[in-house]
Amino acid sequence: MAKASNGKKTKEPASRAPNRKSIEDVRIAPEERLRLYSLRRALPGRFQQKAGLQIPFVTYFQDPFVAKLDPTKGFNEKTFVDWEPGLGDGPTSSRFAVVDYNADTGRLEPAAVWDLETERFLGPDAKALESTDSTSFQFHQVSVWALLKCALDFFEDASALGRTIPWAFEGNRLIVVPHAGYGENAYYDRLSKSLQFYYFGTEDNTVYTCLSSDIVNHEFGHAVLDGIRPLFNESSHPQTGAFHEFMGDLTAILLTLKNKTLRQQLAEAAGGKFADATNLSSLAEEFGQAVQGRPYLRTALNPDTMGTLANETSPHRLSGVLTGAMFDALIALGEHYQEDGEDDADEDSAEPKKPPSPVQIFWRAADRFNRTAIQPLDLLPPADVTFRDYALAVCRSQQLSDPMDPEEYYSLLIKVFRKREILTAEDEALLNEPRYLLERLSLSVYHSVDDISRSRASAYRYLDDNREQLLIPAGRDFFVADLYDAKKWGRENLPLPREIVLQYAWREEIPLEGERFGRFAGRFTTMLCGGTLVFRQDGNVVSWMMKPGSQPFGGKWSHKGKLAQRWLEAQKEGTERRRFLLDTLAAQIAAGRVGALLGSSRGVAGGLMPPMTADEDGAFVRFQWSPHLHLSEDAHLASEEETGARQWEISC
Amino acid sequence: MGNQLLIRAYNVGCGDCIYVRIPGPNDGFHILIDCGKKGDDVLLKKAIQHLATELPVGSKPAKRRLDLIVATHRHEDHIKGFDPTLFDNIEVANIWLSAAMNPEHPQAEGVNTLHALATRAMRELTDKGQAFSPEVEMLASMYGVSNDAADTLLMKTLPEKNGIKPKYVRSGMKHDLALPPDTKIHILAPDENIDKFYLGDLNATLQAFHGLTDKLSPAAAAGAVETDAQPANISATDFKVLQSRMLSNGLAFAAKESSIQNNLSVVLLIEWKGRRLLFVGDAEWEGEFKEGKHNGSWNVMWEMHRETHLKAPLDFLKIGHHGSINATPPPERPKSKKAVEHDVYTILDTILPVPKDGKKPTAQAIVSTEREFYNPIPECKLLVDLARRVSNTRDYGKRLAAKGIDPKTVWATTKAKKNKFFETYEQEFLNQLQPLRTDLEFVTEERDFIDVEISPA
Repeated sequence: MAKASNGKKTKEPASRAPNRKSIEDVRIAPEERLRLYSLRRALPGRFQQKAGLQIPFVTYFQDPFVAKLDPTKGFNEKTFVDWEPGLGDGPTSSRFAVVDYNADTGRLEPAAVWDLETERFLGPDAKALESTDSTSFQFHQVSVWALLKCALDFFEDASALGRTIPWAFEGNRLIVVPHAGYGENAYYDRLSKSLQFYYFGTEDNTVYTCLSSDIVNHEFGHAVLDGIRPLFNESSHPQTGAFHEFMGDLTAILLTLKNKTLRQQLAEAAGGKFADATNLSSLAEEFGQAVQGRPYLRTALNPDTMGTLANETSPHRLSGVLTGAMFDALIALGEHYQEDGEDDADEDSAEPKKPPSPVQIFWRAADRFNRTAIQPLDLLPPADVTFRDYALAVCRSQQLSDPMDPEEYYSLLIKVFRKREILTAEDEALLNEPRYLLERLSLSVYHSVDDISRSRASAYRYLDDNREQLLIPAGRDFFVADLYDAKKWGRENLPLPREIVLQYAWREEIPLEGERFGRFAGRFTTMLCGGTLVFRQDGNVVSWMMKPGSQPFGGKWSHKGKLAQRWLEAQKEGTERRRFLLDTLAAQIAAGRVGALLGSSRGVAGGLMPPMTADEDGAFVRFQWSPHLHLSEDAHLASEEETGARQWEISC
Repeated sequence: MGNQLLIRAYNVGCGDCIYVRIPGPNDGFHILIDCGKKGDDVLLKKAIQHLATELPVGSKPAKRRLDLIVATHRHEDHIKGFDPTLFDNIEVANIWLSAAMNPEHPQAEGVNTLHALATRAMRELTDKGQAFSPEVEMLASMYGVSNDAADTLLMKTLPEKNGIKPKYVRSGMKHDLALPPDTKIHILAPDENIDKFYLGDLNATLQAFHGLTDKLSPAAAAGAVETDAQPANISATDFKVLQSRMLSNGLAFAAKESSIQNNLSVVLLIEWKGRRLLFVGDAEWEGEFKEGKHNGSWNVMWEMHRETHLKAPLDFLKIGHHGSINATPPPERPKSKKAVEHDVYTILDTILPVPKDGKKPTAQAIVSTEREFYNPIPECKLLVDLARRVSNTRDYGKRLAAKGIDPKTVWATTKAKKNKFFETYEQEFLNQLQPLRTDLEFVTEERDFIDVEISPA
């Protein structure tokens, strides 16, 4: 079994080097440790732990006061978090800064102190924070910070995105507020560069959302998606808002499924039941039972399709279709493993192989599933993502990572998306058409992938030289939204070819004409257009997903043949996008869902946050989704029908 | 005076100042329901001066007699004008206030705590000169020091000046008003169990908030929000932005409290010679009645009075909350909602049914309103529906045209132009019938008030 190159392993085969001698009592000087730190990604996990490059922390799986199961199982023992030379009080690390400020009291809690000597975080009493300090706010600070570091590590791992991912804001430290104030709320907010966690309950029974890993991970999912696709925030397309919700739920589910405590609990719960049974989907039900009352994890268990929710515009409700689809994919993967009889017995072991239990298969499917769900994110267009876009990206990503596909996962995934009506029969036919894995992208001017990947400016020259073929109007300036490369793994942690991801975009002005736009009538908004090109290190384009505009090429020369046809089709699609954007916007305005934020320099009225806000700059209006706030099911379901008024408008 | 009952809605902009004159011996019975408005009090002064000329002589020739003042709830657009100097020459015999304004009402502890919390929070924002969005500014104005003054005027100064005590009224309460024959005044709201019905589960939230805040910072729980320290690991700018983007429970409570105060409005049903007249203040509806949860006033009234006082159609409705969408029960059930017996969607058809068989409606209604302070008020779509149920309607588009008035000039303040009041909220409905509106009656007819005369049944 291959070892993970970032040092993380799931199994230690003892027999790899039977005749080699262990090196004992190695002392590592501080400068040597820094050197090792720079090489950490090539080092095994256990060595990193011994060398002090990974530090154990304790995090909660769930807040003890809401644990339906034994609270003593609420801890996730020995979560290892990467050491950093610049760790500081807060905690503060390269990507996170914990600021324990309470908006209700105006109070700043003392920060957990990083002790250089013991390399532990200390409480106000100068003692190391332990898992028994569950009521200590400093323990909470460290716990939520460690959870987030693990979550970030999960996304940056080669089995996921395979690179350092940015935030959407100016800066690199996400501010984490673990006890922001009273409320059944938690949210990610780009403008303040923060993740805010509130608390509720009573004095004797307080629930801190910062201690519930699913809540923390859900909100973090928003921050991650905002970082890799910041332009999604401007889309008024209901599916784009829903995709954000899906990302939060997916993050919560994937990270929950990695939790050893949950795995143990599920195994114990399922053990007797599955002694003879082979029904893996029942495990999904068990999972649902274990996460009873946890809305982010419950969304996976629903029968919704795009058809049953055809007119739905609530991002939360709509997201269930995609979350459900991906959970279906997980179960299907597990069932496929089971049919196949794969096992993970060590090939060097002399012990006889025995068939894995359904629970073991489920967890293996879950581990593999990370790649299936997360790696396609890099293929997505820069703006206005739809569920179909993601489904196509998932299928393409599967093809790229496993071209021979002996297990037929490609067909399995298409089936899942068809069942949820995310892909149509036409999509299925097109996806199943025999084609080469790689097709040449016909361009006017050749640029080497080394030149393209050198900088955004050089990537721009490549795009500009090939506007016609890339369906970018001649008279339109555009920008390179992002340019990065990634090193990912495929199955069995085999390295995939290095990918270079290039996102570009432009804004098409759209007048808001007619009474249906209310007070915005006569102004302009913009429709984001653009694309994502993914190259391999050999220069081949492996994916191109784009959102066309409605304007013609407009260049000095006219194109013919297939290119002319492509331009016509692109314009048609762009015109339809424009129409849909205007209709959706008008519907949102008519329903009063675009409002002003009720705020002051001392905070905003959360329950009175409209779904969308309008940023007005002269004649232009940019519509954006507000940070979502909801934890309780009631909040999910509240609507104007219940009140006759918009709940985010005050009544005076 | 004649033998007709008069209802007069003075044009006071966004506010209520409703005069009711019930004919009878001793020059009849004279009621003033609310006297307030948003903004300056010029129109209020004008209204009271005019009112005084309508009242009978009091105990002295220079004095006028007003039999009953009802202040439905404590918002400035209902009580701001109760300035003793405006009532200097008016003798007031009775003052009715909502039971929720009684600081000693045993079932209003939660509501009073919420009011205190909201007031403290909004005053703190104002005192520190914090920046507000326009909507928050409007909310803050409801918690200004002047509102305390208005409370004091009503609860103390005006009663003492008239040698009376205010009566805190609630649903079902008996009273000893010397009413003319064939006249009854029923108090339908607020219910006595104020915390239970109008605060509901919010009470537990409030207590939990207070308890937890007290646990974490007793000083903050007592109202002294601690001075801001500066975190060492982020910049001062980042911290300021963070503070501005965190959830403010103070703002949230104030906004919620504002709605709750509307729901604590005194609602009066006047029955006179077979006629039924309903004055609802700013009572709201909110979904369906829910035991244990916070409810709108209409929901509680429907739960308590649908078999009695609200069983039969009305002859007059003072349209609630200046024509707000949530102050009149919804005219129709959304397609997605399954019908439930006696649900909120049955209220309006019960009390103001659309006549069948081509008959014309006989009920009347007025709305005292102005679209300046709060954009969505009045909700014209609602007014158009109400026009199907009442007889005193107007096609304001036609009327404006007949007077040579360009409708766009009616809503021509800087705010109205910027927010396109006419295009967004009025244009579509202007050429449809609406009940009489104080704002447009003033523009088209130059009337300082709208009169509705009710004949005996």
